Amino acid sequence: MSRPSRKKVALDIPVSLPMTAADAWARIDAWFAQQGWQTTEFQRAAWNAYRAGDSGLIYVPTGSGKTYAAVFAALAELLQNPPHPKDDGLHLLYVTPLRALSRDVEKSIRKPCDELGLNIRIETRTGDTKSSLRRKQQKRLPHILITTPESFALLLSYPGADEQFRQTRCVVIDEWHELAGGKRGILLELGLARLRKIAPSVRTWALSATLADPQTAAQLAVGEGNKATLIKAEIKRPVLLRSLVPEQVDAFPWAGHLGLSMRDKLVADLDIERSTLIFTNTRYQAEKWFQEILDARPEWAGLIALHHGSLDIRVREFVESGIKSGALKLVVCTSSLDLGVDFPQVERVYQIGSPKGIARTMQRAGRARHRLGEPCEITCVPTHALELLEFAATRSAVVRGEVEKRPLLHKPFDVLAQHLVSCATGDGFIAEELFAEVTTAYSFRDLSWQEFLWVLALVEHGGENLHAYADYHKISRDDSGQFRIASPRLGHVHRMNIGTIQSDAQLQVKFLRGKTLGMIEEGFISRMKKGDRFVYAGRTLELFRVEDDRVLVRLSEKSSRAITKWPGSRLPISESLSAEIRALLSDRNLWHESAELAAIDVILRRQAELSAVPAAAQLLAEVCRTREGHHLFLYPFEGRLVHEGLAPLLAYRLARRQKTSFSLTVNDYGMEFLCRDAFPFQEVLHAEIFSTENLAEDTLASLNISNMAKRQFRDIARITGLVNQNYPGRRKLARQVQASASLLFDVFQRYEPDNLLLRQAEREALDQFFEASRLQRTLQRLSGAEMLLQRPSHPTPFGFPLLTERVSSHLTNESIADRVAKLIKQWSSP
Amino acid sequence: MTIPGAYSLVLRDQHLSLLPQRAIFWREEKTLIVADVHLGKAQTFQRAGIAVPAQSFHHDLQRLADLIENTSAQRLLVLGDFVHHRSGLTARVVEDIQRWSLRLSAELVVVLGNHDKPNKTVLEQLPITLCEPAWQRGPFIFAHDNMEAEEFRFFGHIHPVVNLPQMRLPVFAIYQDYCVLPAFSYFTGGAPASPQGLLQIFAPLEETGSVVALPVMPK
Repeated sequence: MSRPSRKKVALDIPVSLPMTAADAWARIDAWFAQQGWQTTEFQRAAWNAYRAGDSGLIYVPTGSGKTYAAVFAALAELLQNPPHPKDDGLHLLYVTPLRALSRDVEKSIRKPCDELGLNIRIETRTGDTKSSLRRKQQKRLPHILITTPESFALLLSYPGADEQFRQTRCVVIDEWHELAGGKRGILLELGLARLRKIAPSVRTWALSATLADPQTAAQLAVGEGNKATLIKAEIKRPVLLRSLVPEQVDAFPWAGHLGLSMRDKLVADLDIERSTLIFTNTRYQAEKWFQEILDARPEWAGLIALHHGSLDIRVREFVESGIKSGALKLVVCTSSLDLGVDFPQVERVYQIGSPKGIARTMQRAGRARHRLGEPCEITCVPTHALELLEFAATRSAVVRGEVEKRPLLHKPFDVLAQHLVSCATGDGFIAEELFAEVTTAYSFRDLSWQEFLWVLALVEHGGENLHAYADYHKISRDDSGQFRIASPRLGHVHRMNIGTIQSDAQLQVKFLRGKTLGMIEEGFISRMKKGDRFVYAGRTLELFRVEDDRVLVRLSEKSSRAITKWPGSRLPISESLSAEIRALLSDRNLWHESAELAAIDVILRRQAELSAVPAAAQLLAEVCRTREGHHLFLYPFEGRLVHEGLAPLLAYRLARRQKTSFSLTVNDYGMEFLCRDAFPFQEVLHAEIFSTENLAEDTLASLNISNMAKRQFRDIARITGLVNQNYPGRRKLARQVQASASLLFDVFQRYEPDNLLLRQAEREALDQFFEASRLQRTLQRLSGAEMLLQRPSHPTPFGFPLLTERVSSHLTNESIADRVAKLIKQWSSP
Repeated sequence: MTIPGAYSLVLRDQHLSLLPQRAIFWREEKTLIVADVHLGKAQTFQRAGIAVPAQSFHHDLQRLADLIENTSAQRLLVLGDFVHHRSGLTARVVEDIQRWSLRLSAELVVVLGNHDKPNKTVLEQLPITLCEPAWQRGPFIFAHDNMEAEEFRFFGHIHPVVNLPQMRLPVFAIYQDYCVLPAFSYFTGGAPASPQGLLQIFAPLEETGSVVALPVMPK
């Protein structure tokens, strides 16, 4: 008997052999058994749906195994038909909103692939990926790629993308609720529309744990006109919410955002033996609390750490692995640890300040004991007394399992403009074909050909007045009718600026000699001068010098508390939460039912004495006079964002009666109109000022003079490439073509008031404040509410936080000259 | 002087009018003074693939021509940064500037600024008297940026502004022995006027046709 011939083959690349579907699934079942796991019903349902060729949404709680529900059917396909390890082309694309998640996903996919004997390339590509690997991926994509929406858009913008993506069978989108309906999600929708054109058999599976409207979310993921299958699981995870209640509450709560007075109480409540996450709402808070806890418990040094988005990636990785290994017991973090990364060791979760939303509270609570079936507990620490009210309201909503509905943006032109340039930078496009493709994205389903041509003209000619754009060329049509980028350099700049995440230019923070600490916003640094101190990465640093894109710092030796603050984004309370708050206030019987409300009893009683506590069907208005002038306070309890839209609108309507300038201040609970001269507030406070009649006109008129469209334009200018954050090598020319979005806004308004981008800015401001209909619903509610007009002798406990709020916007219908004159008068009078 | 809304000053015995159009008229010398015109800036943006409308270019030329006509100035003195960047000085732009300057009834004098120096060859082709580093006359010296001099200095370069709530106004900033002019072009940003030694600030408001004296806030 002759021995089988042993031909020498290159064994360094073992090729897996094809197998039948039954064998593949048998092997997968065996692997699950090996792990000691049982496949769940929803996982099997998801695999069957995938095998049937369906796309859809897997909607199950965190920690129940949805990643494997999404990818195993695709892995089975790879087992059946293993690609040659050196074969080109992508099979499975896994999109995650957070770069931090990608490493974990890569690991959890790699493990079964290795153990199932699948010899394939699995790689990650995010903004953190090394340039050598990026270049390699540009030539040859791996078989499984884990990436972010922005990096995916970038990959599509290279010539040859069509070829690279042709074999793609499966797209998984993780944490879809983070993306759906926002500009990031819409950029991804456009990319997926492109992918479905290149690889028609591709199936899309979105994953989410918290969603108010799963059906629409599923449709957004799979595209217009495609069938969306919903896979759900009936797994319940109760959320327990408790609050740390201060010993004593002042009748006049001060809206400080830190609540450091709660430090000792929090530190006493902490247990350094148990792994704990402390969530804050801003990076500044995180830095500050980290220091405070360390000051109170210096012996915890080494066990406690800080984690937020602008720290160096190595620092973040170090902290994440410290939590996993148990070396770190206590981590103060921001939303940077909100999402997915699995930390089964974490036992306790704290939240400093109000989480401002029900979904966010549940998400954060879910970080504790990330295990199925166990309840999750979150301990809330108020930063000012009225937040106790929000905690109580959050709890009753969580108990009912209510989650906020997220507003969906509708066909944003700036995102489309960016996509058109990306397509022109890649393999080029024919207008009619791309239009057909773009309209398969759910968010652009009713885009008209006319609108498409507008956006195309915008990137091709600049604007409708061709004479004004004689030297502008970004994309142009070649002889065959294909649109292509006008020059390789423009393509290069475009790629460097792909994405829709609005952010300030980032500078590197670095010690004078040595170590890089992370990134920081240019806007923050530009407000500082040499020697100014700021807290960063848990240290107090002193600014030494800014050099190109580096901020050189040294450790501050002075222990002064005078430090520069980080401007934090302040989230508004959600609509569901504000309804809950009004209901709580309304029912006096509830005031003693929770520890939170009992604690602020002194505030509520004082408010009732001085003015009133409104019932749910009432609108409380307070008119009073102080040395500052004449105040009107209104308390719709609709959240900062709605109040930001509502206050200028009401001011505009009030000012129609009598020309004047108001200082406007808003917070989550109400708004203040301050007027230096007497104003007949009582006379004009009728239901008509809340009328929804002429709402669009009035909103636009008040927006025009109140800068809201201008604020919106910042985003739009960046996404359409009018303001580029990144330039190759920061060359000299870069400085010649930098202008702030607000300057560009002024230039457009002066010279081309009909420009489409200005109209989009207006529309977005309207969308955000009005068409998204929360403002409209608010007005409807208020016009039907009973007006409870009070004339307190001085500002009340509800009004006090507004008075202390120093950030105010200014609305006026007076001319610039009048306002300047008034300011001068103000300054010259002692 | 027929420009309404001007703010008149007497400085070193000379009569100066600050004009709402971001310019100074020097009566004795019949000279109109502006700084930082940045011609061709929009075209520079366009050439870099950024769609900024170019009307600001023609508008600025028109504003300058109107000012010369209304003041009957015999000289237009530009304190540097007459042009923005070579990439925006397209054949059409240079031709438009040429045609415009030939029609002017006033002599055109440009003190070279940092943006002008790399474009000297282009500027030399135009009917412009170029000076470097400054133009001196009577008790005054005119430059692009601050410099050491015996005379009272006028310069531009820093585009001084004053930030008011929700408003940013370009200003004339007057110090003990110098005056900083606002940028003439609307397509320019700015930096807050340095408070060190600041004596007076005047905001030119072209829309309302007036120049307003702003109080200097002690720092």
